[in-house]
Amino acid sequence: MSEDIRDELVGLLPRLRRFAMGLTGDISDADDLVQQACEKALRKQHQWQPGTRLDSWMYRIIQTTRIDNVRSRRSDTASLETGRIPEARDRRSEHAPEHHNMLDRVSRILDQLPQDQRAVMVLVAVEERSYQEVSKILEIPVGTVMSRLYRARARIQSELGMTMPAGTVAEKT
Amino acid sequence: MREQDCEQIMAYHDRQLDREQSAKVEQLLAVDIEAREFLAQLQESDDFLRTGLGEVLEQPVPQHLVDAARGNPAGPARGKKVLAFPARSFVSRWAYATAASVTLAVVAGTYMLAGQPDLAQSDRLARVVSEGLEVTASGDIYRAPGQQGQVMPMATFATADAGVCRQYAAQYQGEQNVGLACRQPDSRWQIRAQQTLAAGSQPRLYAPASGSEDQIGDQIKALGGGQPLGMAQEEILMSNGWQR
Repeated sequence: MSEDIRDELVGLLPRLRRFAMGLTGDISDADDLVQQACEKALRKQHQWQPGTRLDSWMYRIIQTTRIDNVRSRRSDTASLETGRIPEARDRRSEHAPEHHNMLDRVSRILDQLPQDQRAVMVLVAVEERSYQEVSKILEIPVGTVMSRLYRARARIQSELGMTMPAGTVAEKT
Repeated sequence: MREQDCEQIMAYHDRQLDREQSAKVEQLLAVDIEAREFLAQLQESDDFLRTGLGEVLEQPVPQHLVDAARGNPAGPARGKKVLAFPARSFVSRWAYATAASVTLAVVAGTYMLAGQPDLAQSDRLARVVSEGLEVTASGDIYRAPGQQGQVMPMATFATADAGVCRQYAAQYQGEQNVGLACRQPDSRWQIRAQQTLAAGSQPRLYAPASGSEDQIGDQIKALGGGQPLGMAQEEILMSNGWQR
């Protein structure tokens, strides 16, 4: 990876952190995820095609790394005896002044969404990517993008005290 | 509303429709109050998400991420609070991650904001920096209650000439700064050097305009700062009210 591309990667960091925050709901976890993704990207730099969007490639790496991490964590937890499972920590509650800010509210609501819906929701609503682009980034059909997006919005609106028309946009795989 | 209508309104909201499809949705919106409410809700919930996650863009990017993106050898291990202080290149690296362009000058020795005549804002920034450095571990972010300001201490130094000093990144009312402040006997943190970073419109390459990016490092050196303290040492100092 050339120096220019590394510069571009550095310039993307704020947005990569925002995307990772949308997936994890915790800024420390988001930073860990972005760091892992950067390290992976530099190791696999030969797979990136010049002329294509570096940010899309990074979103893909972040999403797959996140899935791997979640699976790994589930596996670790399953291997523990019940009595040894560590008590869950809500890191946000450790930072009381931050607890009521907008970011924290968003994180708590995104926590209600399955992982696959989070990525679609953040890419479309926050990163303003087209359904087609999201389809390519996440390697899922456009119909699935739409159905996940709809269900994610329905859940978010429910959490915000709004209601969406029910029973629409069925899962399409 | 029919299922197909909902799909089309959502796609319209996401700007996924061509002109003809958009016109059909707009016809529906003109006559159907439920459709209009649905569209308004989509906008409201997306705005909520965008605004909340947008706060991440306002935060300084941790140094270890910049190092990781540049492929530099690993600095402090993931999760450690205290960031290593690269003696000569810290400011420019931080700037890569947080500002679109780096301009203005460092004023070492005394505190003033270059090109910033608003003394009241300078005072408020200095107060936020002092409050943040007093109670926040390196690598954590302090948000000033009720104000648009936040401070992230980057490293702590036990200097020979000025006691405990801390390097920080700060943002106040959209302006980003990096600097060095030292603790005074009256418990306030006096800013000894500060650099204001001006954000532009995200050009690809960033470079300090003044070429003065080493002055904060030079200031630490001039005060006999040496290497940054480790996390344990910093925690002991903080728990002792920064008394050595």
